[in-house]
Amino acid sequence: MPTDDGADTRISRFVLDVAGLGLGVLLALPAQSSAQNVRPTAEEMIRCFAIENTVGAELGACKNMVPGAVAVLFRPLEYGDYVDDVMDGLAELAVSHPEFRVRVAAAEYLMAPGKGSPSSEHLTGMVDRIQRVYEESSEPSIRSVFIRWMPYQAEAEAAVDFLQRVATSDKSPAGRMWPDEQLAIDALSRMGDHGRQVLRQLDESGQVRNELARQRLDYLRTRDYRPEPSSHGPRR
Amino acid sequence: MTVDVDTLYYDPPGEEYWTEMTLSDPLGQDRIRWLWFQGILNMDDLEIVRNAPPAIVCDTVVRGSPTTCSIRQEVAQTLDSATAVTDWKFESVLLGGRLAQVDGPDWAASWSGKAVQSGDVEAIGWSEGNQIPLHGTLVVNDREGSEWEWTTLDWNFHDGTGMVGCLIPHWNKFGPSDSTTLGVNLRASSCYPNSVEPPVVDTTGPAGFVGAEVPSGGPNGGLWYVASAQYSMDRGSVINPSILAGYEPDTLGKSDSNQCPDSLRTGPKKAAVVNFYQYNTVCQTLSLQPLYDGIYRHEGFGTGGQDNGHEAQRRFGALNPANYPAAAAERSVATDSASLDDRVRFEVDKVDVVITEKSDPNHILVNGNFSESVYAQSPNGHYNQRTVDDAN
Repeated sequence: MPTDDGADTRISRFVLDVAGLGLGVLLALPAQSSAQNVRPTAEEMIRCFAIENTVGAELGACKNMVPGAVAVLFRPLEYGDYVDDVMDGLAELAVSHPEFRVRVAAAEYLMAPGKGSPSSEHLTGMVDRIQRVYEESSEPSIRSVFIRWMPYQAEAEAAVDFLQRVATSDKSPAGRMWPDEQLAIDALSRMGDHGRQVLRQLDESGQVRNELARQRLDYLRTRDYRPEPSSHGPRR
Repeated sequence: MTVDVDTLYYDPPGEEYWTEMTLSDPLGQDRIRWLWFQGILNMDDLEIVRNAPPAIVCDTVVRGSPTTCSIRQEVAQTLDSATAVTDWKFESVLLGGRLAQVDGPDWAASWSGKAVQSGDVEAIGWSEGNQIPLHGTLVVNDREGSEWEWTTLDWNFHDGTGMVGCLIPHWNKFGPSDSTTLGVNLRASSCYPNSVEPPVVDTTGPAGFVGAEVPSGGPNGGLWYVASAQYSMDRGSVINPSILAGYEPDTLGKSDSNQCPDSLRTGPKKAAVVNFYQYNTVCQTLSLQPLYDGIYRHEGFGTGGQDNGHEAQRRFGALNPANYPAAAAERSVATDSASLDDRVRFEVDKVDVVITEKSDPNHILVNGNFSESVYAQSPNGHYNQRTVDDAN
């Protein structure tokens, strides 16, 4: 019999070659198909995702899964049985993978399953999950991904609550441009009437203590708490 | 589920050998629909090898170019006629996870059209009344070249042009605090974090690309892809106005006033009414230009070729081909225009965060641009000499 390592390699190749003959094979299947036992595992997806997002990494056995090793996250309602494990794996990558690029990509993909409009069918608890990862991460750049894209989560109420908590947290050290609190104020301004209503309350209550966030709030007050449009296109 | 195989190796549980079961395969089309073994079949009991060339062959092209998928000659010869092929179908999982399926023609020897997405191509061949599943792969390579790169021509940076109004309407006055921000490096034409223009996080604004729908008829008909993309950086630096000439003056105490010429002692009891700039340049005849130059170097391109400025470091990040935003957008393909917009924003934001982090907001590399002795007000309002620097 092969060694343990050899057996692992063969398992991986089988899983990837069969289910990954294109992730299309996987995604073409009904969510609870009898062939479920040959899908790539969440662990494999995460491993390939990290490779996919590492510049110059050899794809190896992952070549049939990339791009889009964790594509199931974009169809969470069909692959709900994967979402928990894949998100847990991405959360770990976002917090502790040694490559910054992988941490960023993981953070961005964590925002995928919950994206949508409040009226659309969506999974619940996604914002809570993101908040847990946000609190685990010590990197402003990674945390900024969660804050900046929070306005597009389907769980709008939870998203507003999250941003409100961040805006009033006053935890960012002085001296850094775009601290979390300021980003949260900015994100709230992109959350329609509800976001503006919260901004007005924050402004009037004086709960925002971070200086740059406070100044951003001052500025947005002059615009009725609406963000300025980025009206220009790219220019050479 | 079906799996194309040429050879199946079976490792009986408890045995030390692998058994090879070679399948007859005149058309390269043998398939195992499911294997039934008595007892438990573990994944590591199986190894599959597939060598047969595909029955369907497609031209490998770069995204946006025409391709033709046709039946491999050896296979076509076994069919009733060259056109005895029906149910052409293309299938692929797009980068955003959506399954793209395109139905093709019946009774056609080939299937042609513009290609934007790699994926599986299938069809049914007919031979003496029997249906033969045919399979192949369409490979589409990413576009490369100057259209998907960017250069310094796409990046603007000017001292004094940062869009400071939306971000820091009220600067802290320099002096009383040790941590007063003396300068910032900002976007010049929009008020968002990060670096790439347009700011893709503003989903009401442009995402920097032009999308196009593949004309119907070919394997990728109806899919949307990025026809062109253009991104830029447009930034500037700004100095804290409280250390510039135009800032509002203070009325100084007697000892500080004595350092100033009569022309500036316009307050009560001949108190000097001056700002930071005047106190240093007139009362102490100390030029502030070295400080201003140092701040601009810190925000810009650093000192003496050391690249120890934020913009220099940002551009190092932007110069890395792995961070080209147009290239990041290039491979996005979607089933509709709105999904394509989503995908592109997502991909561009990833590289934008990486580029921005390279600008060194934590001042690991960006430091050592100035260390100047100036006169600054202490909390009690008196001017004292102190050294201002950007040392880490």
